[in-house]
Amino acid sequence: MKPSKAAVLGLALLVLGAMSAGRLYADESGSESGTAADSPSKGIQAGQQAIEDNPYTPGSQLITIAAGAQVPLFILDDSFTVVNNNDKIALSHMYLGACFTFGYQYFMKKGLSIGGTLSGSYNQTMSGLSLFILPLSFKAAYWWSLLPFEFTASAELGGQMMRYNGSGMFGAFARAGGAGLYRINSLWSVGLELNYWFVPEIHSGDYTSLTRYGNFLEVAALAVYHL
Amino acid sequence: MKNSYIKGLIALCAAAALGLSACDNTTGIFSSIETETTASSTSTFYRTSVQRMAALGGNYFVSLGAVYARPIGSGVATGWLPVTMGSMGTDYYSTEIAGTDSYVYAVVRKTDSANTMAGIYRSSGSISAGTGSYTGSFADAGATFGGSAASNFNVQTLYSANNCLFAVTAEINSLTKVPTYTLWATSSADSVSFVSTGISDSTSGASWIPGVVWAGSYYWTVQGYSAYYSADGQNWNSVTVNGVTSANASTYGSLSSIAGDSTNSRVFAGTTKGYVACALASDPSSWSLHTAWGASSNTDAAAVTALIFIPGRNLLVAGRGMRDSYTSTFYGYYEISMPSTSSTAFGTPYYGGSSSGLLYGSAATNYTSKVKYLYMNSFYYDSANARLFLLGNASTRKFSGLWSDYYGGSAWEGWLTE
Repeated sequence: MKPSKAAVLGLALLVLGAMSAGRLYADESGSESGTAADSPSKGIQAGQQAIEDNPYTPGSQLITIAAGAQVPLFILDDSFTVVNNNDKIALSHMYLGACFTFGYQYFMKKGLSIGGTLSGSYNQTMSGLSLFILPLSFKAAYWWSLLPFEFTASAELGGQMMRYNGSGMFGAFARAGGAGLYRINSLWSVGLELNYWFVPEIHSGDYTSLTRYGNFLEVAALAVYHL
Repeated sequence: MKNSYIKGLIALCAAAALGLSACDNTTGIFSSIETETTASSTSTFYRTSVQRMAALGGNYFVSLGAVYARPIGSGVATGWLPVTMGSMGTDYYSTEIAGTDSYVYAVVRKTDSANTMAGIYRSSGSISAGTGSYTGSFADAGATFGGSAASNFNVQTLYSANNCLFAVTAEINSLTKVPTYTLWATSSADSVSFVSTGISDSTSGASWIPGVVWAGSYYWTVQGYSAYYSADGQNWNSVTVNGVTSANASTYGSLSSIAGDSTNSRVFAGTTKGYVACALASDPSSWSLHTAWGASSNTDAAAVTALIFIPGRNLLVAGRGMRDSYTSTFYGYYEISMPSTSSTAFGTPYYGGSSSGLLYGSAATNYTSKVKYLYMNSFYYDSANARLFLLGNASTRKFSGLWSDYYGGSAWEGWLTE
């Protein structure tokens, strides 16, 4: 999958999700009260418990769990040029893989959270080897809602450990993306998240020519537990 | 509170240091992945027969019609390209190489219809990137056989033992077309002045000399029904291997492979009927004999075509093959654990896919899906990088003829196609 297509697809999914969420909420609240535009501040019923339209008040906490697909996009070389292997598998010489994330977030201000994420990904390479990436990152996120739908956009910075064919590398890590969720009840939300992974592999000294930058797209099912 | 921050910072620094200590700055992960190839019809070793291998100057070399190389750090299956051969460029033919601590040697032939001998070339092991091939540092070594130029001889292969070169030449009988194989030796490290050892099957012919090894105190080789040992590589003594004689040919066959254990001054030999034998330098005439298949249900008597002893792991690997059969039973290898001391006692042989197998790593299917179908030409062990190579004949199979397996400190990781 070419990076441009993946990026467009991801963006389209995110936009479509947000648009449909808005329409769904408008339909539902309109049928009940007839004043969709005014209703979010009044809250909605989810199960037996009322949920405020913006529950992300300072002091709130979240635990996030996600699992899904890890799409290898492309590799940049040490001059930030896309490595083009001109083959039919993937520009990155890796197959579609899997990933998981486990995170915690604490709301500092209304809608604004900080936290951390432990992640892991696996991709098989074209000759049958395995690439493992284990990132640990600091996360800043903004949350908003069109109840019963919730949305978040986030950015992360941290470090990662890669393992491949008996070799290991430790390096920086960055991730950015967003998610759309459906609030099931006061405790749980579930949805889909899309994240872009940037995985630098920096080599020094005589080996700077080995420096590369891995680029991946994470598409995962996400569950959020509201503490 | 301040103390807890300091402790946290120390823990973070320790974790970072631990992580950084696991780094290998010399090996590029993504750069290795981007040069990977599939085991497809375009792969270097797809449906090929790989004969010999060497490692020198940070590179692996194999013989495959041409000499191919890849940087050791480039990762499995990545970076293999043909190497230019001095003034011959890529217009040459070579299926035999051997390596010492200083040079990689190649038997080089011309690409004419008769594959005329060009000579023995050698390189310090350096290669540099080119377009579609590596530029090698190979040049004619000026080898002579009994004072005559190598190009006047039909050199079949080269062996390296204790940094000395040995060569096998063939002389074809013009009437019977049966080749007579003769072993030649050099007298010092990296010498290319070969002299005849007198080891030759001049009476019956067609008995191949499958290798020369250094096993601590002696050089060893085998041919037909005799094993030979020598302290200097020049003067050889002949011994019989525990009943492996022409009279018992229907039971044991003849000697078909050899391996050395220099740590314990121990030598191993395989036979064409699937037996393995072992002797010590302290008693060269006393050989123990055992079936390579042990108690396995796969009690076929395929030839032991390749043998290797893996130092440190104390594992004898007996590769098998039978040229006149494509039945899967007649391929693959057995693993035989050996005592870590100077003993000729064999451990229980395990079929490569056995639940007691070690080399396949975590899943026996790693062996049973493909490797077991390979006719084993030879093995090569890179002790510095703990990587075992399996050089097979995959000319009748739809997969690679070259595989490797890495010992990760506590276990083998399983076979990967090169």
